[in-house]
Amino acid sequence: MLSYPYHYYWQEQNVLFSDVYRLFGHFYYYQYAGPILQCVAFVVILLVIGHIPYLVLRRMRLRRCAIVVLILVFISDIYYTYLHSPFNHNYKPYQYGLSHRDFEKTLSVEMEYYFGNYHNVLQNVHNVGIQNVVISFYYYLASAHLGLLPDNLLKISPKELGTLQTIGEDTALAIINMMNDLYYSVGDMTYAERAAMMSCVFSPNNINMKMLKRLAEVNLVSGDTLAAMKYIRYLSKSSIYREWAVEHTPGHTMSERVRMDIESKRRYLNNSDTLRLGDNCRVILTELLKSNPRNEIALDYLLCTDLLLKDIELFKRDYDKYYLERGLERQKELYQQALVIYLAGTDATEEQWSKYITMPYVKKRFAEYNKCRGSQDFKETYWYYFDKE
Amino acid sequence: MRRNINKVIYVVFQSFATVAVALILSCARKPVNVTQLDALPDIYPDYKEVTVPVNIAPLNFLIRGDSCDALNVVAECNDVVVYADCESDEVTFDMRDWKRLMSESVGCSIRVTVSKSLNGEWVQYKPFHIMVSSDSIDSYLTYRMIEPDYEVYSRLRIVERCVENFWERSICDYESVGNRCMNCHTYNSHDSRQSFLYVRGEGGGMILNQNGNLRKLALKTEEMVSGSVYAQFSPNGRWLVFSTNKIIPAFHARPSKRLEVFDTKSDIYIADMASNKVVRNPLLADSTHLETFPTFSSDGKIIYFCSAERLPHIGNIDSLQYDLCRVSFDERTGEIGDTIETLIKSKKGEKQSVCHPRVSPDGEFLLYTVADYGTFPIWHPEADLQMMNLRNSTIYKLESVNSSKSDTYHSWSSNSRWFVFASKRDDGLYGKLYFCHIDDNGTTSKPFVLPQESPSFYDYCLKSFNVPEMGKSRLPFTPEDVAYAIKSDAESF
Repeated sequence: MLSYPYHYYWQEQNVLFSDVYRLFGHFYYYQYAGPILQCVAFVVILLVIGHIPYLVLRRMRLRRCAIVVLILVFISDIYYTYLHSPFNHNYKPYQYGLSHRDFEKTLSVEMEYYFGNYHNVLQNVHNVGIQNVVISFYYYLASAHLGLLPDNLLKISPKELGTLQTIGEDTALAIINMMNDLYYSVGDMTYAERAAMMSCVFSPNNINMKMLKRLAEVNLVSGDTLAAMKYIRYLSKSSIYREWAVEHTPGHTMSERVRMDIESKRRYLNNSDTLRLGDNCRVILTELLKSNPRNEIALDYLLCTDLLLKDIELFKRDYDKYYLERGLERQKELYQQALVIYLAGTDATEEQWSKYITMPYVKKRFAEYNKCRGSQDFKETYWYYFDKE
Repeated sequence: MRRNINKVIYVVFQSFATVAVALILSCARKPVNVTQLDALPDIYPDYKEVTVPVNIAPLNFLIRGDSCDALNVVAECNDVVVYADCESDEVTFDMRDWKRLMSESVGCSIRVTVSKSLNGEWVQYKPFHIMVSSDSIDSYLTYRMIEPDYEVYSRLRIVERCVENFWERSICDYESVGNRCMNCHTYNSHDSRQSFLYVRGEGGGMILNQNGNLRKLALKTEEMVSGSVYAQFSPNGRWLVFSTNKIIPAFHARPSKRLEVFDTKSDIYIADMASNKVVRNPLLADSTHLETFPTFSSDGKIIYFCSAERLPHIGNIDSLQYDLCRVSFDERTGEIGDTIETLIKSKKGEKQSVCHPRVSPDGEFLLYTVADYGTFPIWHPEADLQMMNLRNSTIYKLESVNSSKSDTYHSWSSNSRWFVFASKRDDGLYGKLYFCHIDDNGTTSKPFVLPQESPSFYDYCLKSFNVPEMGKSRLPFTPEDVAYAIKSDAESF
């Protein structure tokens, strides 16, 4: 199920300076070490320390003592660099409220999203068998990229879209780290940049390589080449990210795939020039939709947020304004189910029913649901969520 | 077995020795069969054709562009020739050599020649020059290092740096006072014996340094909308003019504009540091206007400040434009004059909103920032420095100083021949400190960035430098002293 150690890749995104950097002028990353491995390393160091007086007592030659001391220094350095590092101090499963085992499973979802393997994200979420906000967040985000957010909205818990999260001093690091992915996906580069910067601020030594990559991407999409180069130059000094940096450097070294990716993202940029006092998702999403009505990820996030808030009137208004008036042809059963609630509650005319409900079986099923409201047979429907959750 | 180990050790040492000799030889390589190029080298920071003070630290730099096999950099003036240490793309000067070169180059220009070997072929760029001014600069500089969005911060520091070398230390930092906001270290007339800084948050306040004795002041009365924000000493040190501002941070939807910070209320007050009294005058605390950025003239007889009409709502933030005003002040009694004179009237649609006025110590010039609108020019790419000759009101646009990105947060040297400012010209995000020379006629030279020991320092730095202030000598307190002062009870006003 979990084919490789995801924490290895996850750490790579959180690369920090280490002693190795100071020695060789490159970045390096800390190995993640659980408490058992840390204890083993500590015991080894104690044994080596204990060996020195033993050698002295046995009147061994000075050279051997020197070799042991060198080994001790070496092991201590490894211990400090890899095991007792700021990385291991700052990134611990408890920050996610998870055991080590569940931590790895959670990272499997986050990392598959990072690699762009959206189908793997959905598959892993169903396989890992645990529930938390990080898993839900990436499940929904991957679904949105595949155009399946309305289809998958009610399939897992907790129902954490991320749209109602705000970033501040009291926000959990796990939440701060993932929010830039949402803003970047919907196309809001101002908030993607802010979230990535926040993530850097709250990371050990205020550096987080995944966020530096994101900051470079954000500025490439915004067309701010000078700012993008700041981060690309930084990343190019790292042996791990050098290739990525070359591929993303504006000019002849930029790959065609990257160029096309940036161009497609630019289509979703916000054209309006307004001031926002907070990270209110509704303002962000509606402005993005006004700039580009074909931004389906933003649209799905807006409508699904309305639905999770159970604000059917708001949903209907947004549906009319951003869905019907723009002539979008996509039909989603979730939206049809929500519209049925609205129409039934407002004594809508037959004309309105036929205008909004294009899937006839939804209406029929709603009639069945009304005969046994709250029945487990309708657990996957929005009606059940609306009534019971 | 032991012989084999000895062999291995011998081979390892031999290898190290060979590599070391090769490295030494490669460093010492001199250019031969050089091809002359008709182009200047691409160096960072850009020290080409800049004017520097005689007492500045070595201008170490990087060579940008394709990596090369070897590098040779020669700096010369008159009979003094200095060879830089070149490692990879980094060029550094020995401190002793640099000081000798500078002392021999006063009033002249240093010629720097860069040669590099590409695939065994040496090429030499056109030499560039560094003009050395006999006008020295104040030895010390204080500034704050903070994340560029200023909204949330971590590991904040106010740093004191000696610009004659690379010595630096914190005068207040997160380790001593905790992870809280701190800002605006300000000298009185560049004298380290009197200065202040702010430590914000619970138990914080203004920390006033008087000959190394630190006092915590609660510079706030009930009628004020906030504690003091922007403040300046009067020349005799008795008075402090300061603004109180209700500051709102907001984000632009358009990614190119990013952050906006503006005031919804602001007034100016004057504090008597001798009697711990605050003076309020309706002329400077008009409820229909926003008054901010107060500063004294060099003789203490005038207060310069910025003023704008209050906006009914934030939707039309681009109408929030500030005029440059002044009012007379009696340093003996603390009274201000009856009339406010407007020196620069802002104009809608023109880059004419004024921020941060600062008078040169000789009283000749007034340096200020102009932007389209608002009070936070550090995030306005169009923000530029301008200067007014206070004798004849001539305005200098300072085109040789400004860039296409934000140029602001400026302050003068004690001899009025230099000013330092924060500029985002390199990447639009991270502010760096630039120095600019100005002669008797108000002619400015191309600015240069604060030199660093490691040429690649700025490439790796993810903090902004801001609020720079120059001081004549080292400050007489430490972060621990500030932490101790924070724990004391604040003096009320």
